[in-house]
Amino acid sequence: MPIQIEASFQGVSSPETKSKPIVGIDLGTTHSLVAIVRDGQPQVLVSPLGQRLVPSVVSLKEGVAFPVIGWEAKSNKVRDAKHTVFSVKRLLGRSYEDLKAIAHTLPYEIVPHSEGVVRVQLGEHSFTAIEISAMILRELKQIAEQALGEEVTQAVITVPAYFNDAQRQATRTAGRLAGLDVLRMINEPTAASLAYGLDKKRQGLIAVYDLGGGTFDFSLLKLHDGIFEVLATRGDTQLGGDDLDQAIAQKMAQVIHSRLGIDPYQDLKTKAALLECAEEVKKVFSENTSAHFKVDLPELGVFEYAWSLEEFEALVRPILARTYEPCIKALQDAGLSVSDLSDVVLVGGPTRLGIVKKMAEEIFGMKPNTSVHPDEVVAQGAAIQADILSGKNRDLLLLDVVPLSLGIETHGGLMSTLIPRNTRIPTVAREQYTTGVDRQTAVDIHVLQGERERVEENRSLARFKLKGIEPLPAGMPRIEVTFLIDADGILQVSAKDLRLGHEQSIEVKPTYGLTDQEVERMLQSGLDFAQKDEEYRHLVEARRKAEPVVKAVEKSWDDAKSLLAPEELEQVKKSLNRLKQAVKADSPQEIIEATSELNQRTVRLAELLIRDTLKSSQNS
Amino acid sequence: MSSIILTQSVPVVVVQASQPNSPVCVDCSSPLEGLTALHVCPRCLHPQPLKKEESYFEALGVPQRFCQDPIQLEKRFYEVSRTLHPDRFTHAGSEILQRSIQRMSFLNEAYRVLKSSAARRDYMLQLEGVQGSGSSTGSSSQPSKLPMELAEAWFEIQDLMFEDQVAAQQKLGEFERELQTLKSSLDQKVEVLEKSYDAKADQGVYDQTLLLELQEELRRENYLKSMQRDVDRIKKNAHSN
Repeated sequence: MPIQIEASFQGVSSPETKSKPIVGIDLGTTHSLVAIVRDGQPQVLVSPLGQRLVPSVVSLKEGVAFPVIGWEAKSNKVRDAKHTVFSVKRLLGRSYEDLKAIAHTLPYEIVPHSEGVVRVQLGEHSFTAIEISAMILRELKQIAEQALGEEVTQAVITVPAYFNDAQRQATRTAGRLAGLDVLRMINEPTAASLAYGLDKKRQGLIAVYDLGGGTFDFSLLKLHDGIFEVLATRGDTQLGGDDLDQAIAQKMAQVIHSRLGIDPYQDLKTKAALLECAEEVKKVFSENTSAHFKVDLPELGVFEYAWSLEEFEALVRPILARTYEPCIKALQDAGLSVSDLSDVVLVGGPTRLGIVKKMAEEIFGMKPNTSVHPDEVVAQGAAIQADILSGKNRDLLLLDVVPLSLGIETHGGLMSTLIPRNTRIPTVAREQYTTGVDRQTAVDIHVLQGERERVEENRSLARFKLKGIEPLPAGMPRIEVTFLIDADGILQVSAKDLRLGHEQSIEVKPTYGLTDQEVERMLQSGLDFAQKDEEYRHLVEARRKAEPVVKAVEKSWDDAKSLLAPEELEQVKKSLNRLKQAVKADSPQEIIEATSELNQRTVRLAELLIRDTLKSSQNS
Repeated sequence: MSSIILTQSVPVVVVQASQPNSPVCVDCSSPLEGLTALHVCPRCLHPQPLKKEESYFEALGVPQRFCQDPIQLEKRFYEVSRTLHPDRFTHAGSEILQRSIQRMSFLNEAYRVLKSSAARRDYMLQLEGVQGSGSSTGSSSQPSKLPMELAEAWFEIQDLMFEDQVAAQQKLGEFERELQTLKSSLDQKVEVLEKSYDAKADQGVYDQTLLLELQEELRRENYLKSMQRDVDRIKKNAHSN
């Protein structure tokens, strides 16, 4: 019997998982995670290197065709700032105009692409935020496939509750580019509540205060016997831990400027270094009362600064105070007061900070609940929702709302609301249109999202033309337009000519986002990546199978020396060395061949070992 | 030139083929019996197409009355959602999923309307063919049976605004209190009318005259509301000056 240990993948053979796995993904600003439900419990899937969190960082080295993602990319953040992009979630579904104000704070370059879309410049290459998000998702897909030992094509992805339609569309497109069928997008605080209330013991009205790397969400939910009903949601998609880092880094830049007379922000690499040190300082303050800022400045030497907790809190308090208003407004929307709440759940890395906990206590007048894992709970919730969608969990159900009002432009540049915020989804609104001019055959419809009265203060989602209207006197045609918001919170529009009775084809051109043709083109060019991914997976799999064989032979080496003839021992040693070499290189074929050679050459050794074991057990 | 004119809001009613007398599942023909069967066939678990003129009350399985128990509504909403929500049909065919989305959208709207006493009242009157109760009609003429002094006091305040700010503010306070008193007495009348309509309906008598009276009270209430809005506006302006 050869020493052969098949690497056994958990879950492959159990009948329950015969259906394709659906994973839950938390695509975060700073970190991303993938999770799945096993035996009714959500579990974060771990990379082959044992890591749970994947930094949402992508780096593309000069002259290299394939990007690196995650920890390796993060280590390039300072070393190769020009070729490393992070916090790309803040760019998703946003235009160059939107981002101009924050562009100077980023150590990488953003450039306008088509109308409403930006590209990130990485050396000689440039990518849209969607493509970069797709790279991160592809990495998570691979981690899931390695951990599960099977192909993963379906996912639930979380998005900030306060993401608008454009940002949601962008996330879904990124999933598609990564080869994932995005079965559902759920809101991050809602996902967190699923994990919090999984055991159904926790009931009543709860608030989820979710301060992530780049976004803040606040949701009020009613938990009742497995139903998770969102009552109201508010938030700020430009507020998160990143802003604390920026504040610290900017403060340090000012100090450096005044002390040394040089603006360190002029240099991308130094800017990246300041940001990284700032992040460290912030992290230190989640457990300590002082922090040491130390950065190596090119040509100027080491710069050091001692931070006290007081100074840190005074700096970040005004930023964190911006969370107050969304909380109060959501309570107003739901017609509740803080005394109605039975629990306030803190989610997101920055909620580890003492000042955030203090802030939450000031807002809600009660000690917040910190029992959930701030980094992992969202991915866990996504996995639970995936379990619900798979049909395995019929006890739980999420009832969510649309976070922002949806409407259309009417006369005078005003927005007329069709679907108010906090409407339960899915939802439908129908509106009748007619013409304003005789023999008019087309009508422009401008779809908006937001809470302001004036058109330009809201987000423009789409403009489309209703064409082919009968040339009748003004006011005669009757066209009914249906606005449907699906369970993902994404808008679909259709139109019907009520007089003629036929459905109109509508051209909905997304104002912000990629066109279908662009997505197609990206999918095409993405095939190269996919092939590379496949090779990589084979390699990892081959290594996993080789590893235990090597270990087993090494373990029995002392016995082998006494059991085998010298020339036979030499053969085994040769094969063992060949395999060890192969594992270090990256040809899966060589690893597989070397593994099987070593297996063959140890057949007799295995028999002898077994005989030996039997003998010794008989003797004793 | 292609401007938009919004003609009217359309209530969300999807027209489907009419149902036979004793309802059966459109897919497996089993009889649709039980509380959630209107929405989802208890046998093949397929969502059913919306019925022609299905009402929000039917959708939530509660009697068509002005007064509703919010706990009961919530219970029914959760119960139906559990079987009907699109999350239960991720892997079903697109037609089945579409039906679930359509029905769930309808149920969401039904719950939104029936949960709010004002929206529910408007919807009831609309179902009973008594129009013009809602705020949408916005008739600005003064309804009958409101004290004439109200309008006079209002004009007086507006005149005073230009002459004597302090006096005007004082009058405004008095006026607002008067509005409040009138409003709460109207609220009480509305409540009494609704209760007596419901009580008669429980006996099988649907009293149209009560509905018309109710409509009249609501018109008065709307008038008061528009006055309150004017008061708020004046106060806001005074504040910013």
